[in-house]
Amino acid sequence: MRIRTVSTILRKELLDTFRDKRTLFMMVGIPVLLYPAMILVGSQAMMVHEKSMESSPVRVCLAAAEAGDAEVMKSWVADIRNVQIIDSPNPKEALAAGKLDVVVVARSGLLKTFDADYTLPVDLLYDKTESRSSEAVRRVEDALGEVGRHELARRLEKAVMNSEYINPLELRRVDLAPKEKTSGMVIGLVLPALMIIVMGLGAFYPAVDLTAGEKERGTFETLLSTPATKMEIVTGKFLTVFSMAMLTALLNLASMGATFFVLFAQISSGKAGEFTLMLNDPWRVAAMVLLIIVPLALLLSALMMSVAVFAKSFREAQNYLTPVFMMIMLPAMLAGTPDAKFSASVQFIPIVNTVLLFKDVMTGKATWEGVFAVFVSTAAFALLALVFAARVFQREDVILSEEPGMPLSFRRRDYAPRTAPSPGFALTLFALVMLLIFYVGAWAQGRSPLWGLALTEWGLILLPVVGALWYARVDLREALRLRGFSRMQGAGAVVLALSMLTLIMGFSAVHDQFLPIPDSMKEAFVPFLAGTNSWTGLIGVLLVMALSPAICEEALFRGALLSGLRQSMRPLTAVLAVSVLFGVFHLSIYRFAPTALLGLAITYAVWRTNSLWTGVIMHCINNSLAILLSVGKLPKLLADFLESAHGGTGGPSTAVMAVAFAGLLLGVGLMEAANRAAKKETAPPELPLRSGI
Amino acid sequence: MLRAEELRKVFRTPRAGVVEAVRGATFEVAAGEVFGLLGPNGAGKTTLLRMLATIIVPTSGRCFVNGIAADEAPDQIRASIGFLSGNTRLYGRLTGREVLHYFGRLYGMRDRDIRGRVDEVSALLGMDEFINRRCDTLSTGQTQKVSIARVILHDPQVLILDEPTLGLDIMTSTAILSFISDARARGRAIIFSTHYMSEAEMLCDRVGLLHQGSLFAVDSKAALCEQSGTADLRAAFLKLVEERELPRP
Ligand SMILES: Nc1ncnc2c1ncn2[C@@H]1O[C@H](COP(=O)(O)OP(=O)(O)OP(=O)(O)O)[C@@H](O)[C@H]1O
Ligand SMILES: [Mg+2]
Repeated sequence: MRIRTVSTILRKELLDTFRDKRTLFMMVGIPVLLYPAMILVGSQAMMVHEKSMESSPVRVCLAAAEAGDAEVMKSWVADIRNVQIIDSPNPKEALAAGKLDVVVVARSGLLKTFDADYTLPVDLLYDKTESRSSEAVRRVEDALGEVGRHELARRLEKAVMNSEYINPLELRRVDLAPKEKTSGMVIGLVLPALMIIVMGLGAFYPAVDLTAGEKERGTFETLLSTPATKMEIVTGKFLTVFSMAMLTALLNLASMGATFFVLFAQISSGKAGEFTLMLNDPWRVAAMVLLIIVPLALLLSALMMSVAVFAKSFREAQNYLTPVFMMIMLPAMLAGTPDAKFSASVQFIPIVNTVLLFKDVMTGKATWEGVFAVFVSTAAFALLALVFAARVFQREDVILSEEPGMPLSFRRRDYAPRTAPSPGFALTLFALVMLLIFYVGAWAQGRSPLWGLALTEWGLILLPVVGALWYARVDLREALRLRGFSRMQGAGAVVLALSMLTLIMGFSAVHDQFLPIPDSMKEAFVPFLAGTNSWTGLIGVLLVMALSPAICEEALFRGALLSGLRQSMRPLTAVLAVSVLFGVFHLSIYRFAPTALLGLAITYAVWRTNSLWTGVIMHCINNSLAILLSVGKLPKLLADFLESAHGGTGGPSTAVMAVAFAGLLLGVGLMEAANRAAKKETAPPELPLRSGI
Repeated sequence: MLRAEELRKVFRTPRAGVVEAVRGATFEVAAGEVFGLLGPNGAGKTTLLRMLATIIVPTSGRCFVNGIAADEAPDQIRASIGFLSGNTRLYGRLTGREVLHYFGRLYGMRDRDIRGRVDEVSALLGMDEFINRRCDTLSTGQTQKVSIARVILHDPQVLILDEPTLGLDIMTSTAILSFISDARARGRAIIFSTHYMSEAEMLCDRVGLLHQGSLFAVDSKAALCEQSGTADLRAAFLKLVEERELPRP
């Protein structure tokens, strides 16, 4: 690798990028404008709102039966600023019509009630949906509260008691957290996730522009015709993307910092120093932040570039990168929750470790060891991603691909009939389903767990998958692999499912020690299993939680996604990718590894048998057994076996693990043997696509 | 100077399946020779030239430049080649001069040499008036001139030109053709593909006919006419291609 060539490429790409107005705006314009605009608009709107609240009159109607009462009440509210006392024959109607803000209704003879030391009920009628009315009722409440306290003092005095008599205890919270920690906490919650989004965007445009964009503009081949090697080209381009990601990140930090500074200065007029005190050791914080964001920028740049290079156009690259972005954002958001803490067990999980460490840096708790661990592990992942990118660049079918990507039109007749969706289409479909589940599914399951889940599976997963494939004129039978399977393959699938379940039970025991599942998550399943005491209830639960996911999720993962990704990936890569997506699909960092493992076994089986039904069977066995086990309806022998796999406190039993492992081998053996047998029968099945069989 | 031995290229795509774009092409181009590659659309001309330029790797077969095998030292070979095709476009956001400077550096030239050479080439091709303009503001002909300048900047021994006159007016294409014959006079080996028979007739010392991936005839123009019993290259091309398309008795 020649340094001069790499630096030539780097310099040219930077120049090129800076001349692209769109990129420049995304990276420089947005950060510089966004935060001040956000804060300005936000605080201005707030101020305008408060102003109008303060200055608008409070229109009160005093509904009293006796004239004397009305006079007393008038004196109660008289001190409210800008109060207007309005008489109305029908106060409720006037309130509904917006002519009144509050109606005060008190029982008649209020002075008598007070004199007799009774409680006086007072109703404040208002309209919660009107902010003006809500604000007014708050102010009336304040005024009447004062009246109440006054009356109390009078009564105590009358009873010859001092006011401490009714306040045996005085509670006071004293916050000992240093100021730097509180402000750091708030900033630490928002900043890391924001940082990752912003840096992702910073890497995104150059990554796409320098790969897919260059392909689209037809300049890649010009570059390839020079003596520059692919490695030099990748390196030069990668350094450009990295520089832009860093530049965006630093610009964002600077802009954010400046905005916060101004904001603090406004809020605590004169006490602008409060902000800087968060950085009581500014150089240490700066060094740590730099050490964190450098590898993060490396990782994001390499990741984005290696994905974007598969696309042939800017548009297509955006389709590919959307799921990648989601995969980055998910851990970032999880780690952004207040309870997630940086610890030894998470320090090697990319993105998550960065976000958590960032939080610690902001609260002044970070150690150099932690920073170092995150630096090293993130850099290692970045290197992996870069090596992957370099390998992708070696593939001429990717670099010079002339196949059109997504059709430009979305009308059905413009789609060419095909046997599998394109990878971009499949990934977009995945992202769409995830969004549907996130918004609609979560809502439905909140209303009714079982019905919601059934709706999610059939309506939000299977329906969009089948619908989209049909719309894009993909042959459903081919893409979803709706084919039969041999007896041997079926046996292999059952053996695989059983041994995988056992292995995962054992694996979870170990996994739990690193990433203990919070109780709230364990309890999340309880409402689903509510009806399992009766046989009909149990069957219902099994139908919804075992059979439905087995059919619907298989159609998405082992159907659409596997077929789609196989278009541009080698079989094993595609199997791995589908398994990872299957893990991501469960939207929980705790369930990621176990489900990805399960996904691996199922995806392998479906790939090998070329039949979705083997996947359905495995998925169904896995879910049914897990449910039956948790409600204690499994035959004792089987239950004991699985329990000992998890092993309680003593860890998984070695013997059980060995049996499970042997089962795994047997399952794989059966699959492979079945494949060999099938190959002998029907000579050449289909043309291999880019795979080196 | 340039030698191809049994070059074969098979593309595998999910959509079109297996396409054998070039089926075993063997030929040689000597220094000071212009070799024309003729063939109908989709015959495999671009694919063959891309293999020679080491943009893509042949499925089988080898090619050599100056006796160096392309699969052994592709970077070294690329340094002595200038490659131009419809897919080697220019960076629209850079000026002509910046583009040339960039490629000069990639070819390992020194900055000082590049400056002199850019002025020289610019004068040669008559591009002084637009060399400082951004490439995306140039016309087709101006763009093609900058591309030609890029190809000859490092003064390569072998020029591989895929349809260099496509879409150009008569003046510009004449300029490019005369530049090709100059290069021949200076001992360069040139291989170019074209759909214009008059160009091939005027320039080429030898011609290769490509049809459905097979390089089925490599000879001088006169020999081809004689073989087919026709008067000019155009007629010879039509006849020979037609013969191959008809089922053999
Ligand atoms: N990267 C590629 N992937 C798949 N198939 C390709 C690729 N490049 C070319 N082909 C196919 O190879 C065949 C030869 O194409 P090529 O571009 O070499 O023809 P050509 O002679 O240059 O045609 P034209 O005169 O139209 O330029 C065509 O069938 C084309 O579809
Ligand atoms: Mg061509």
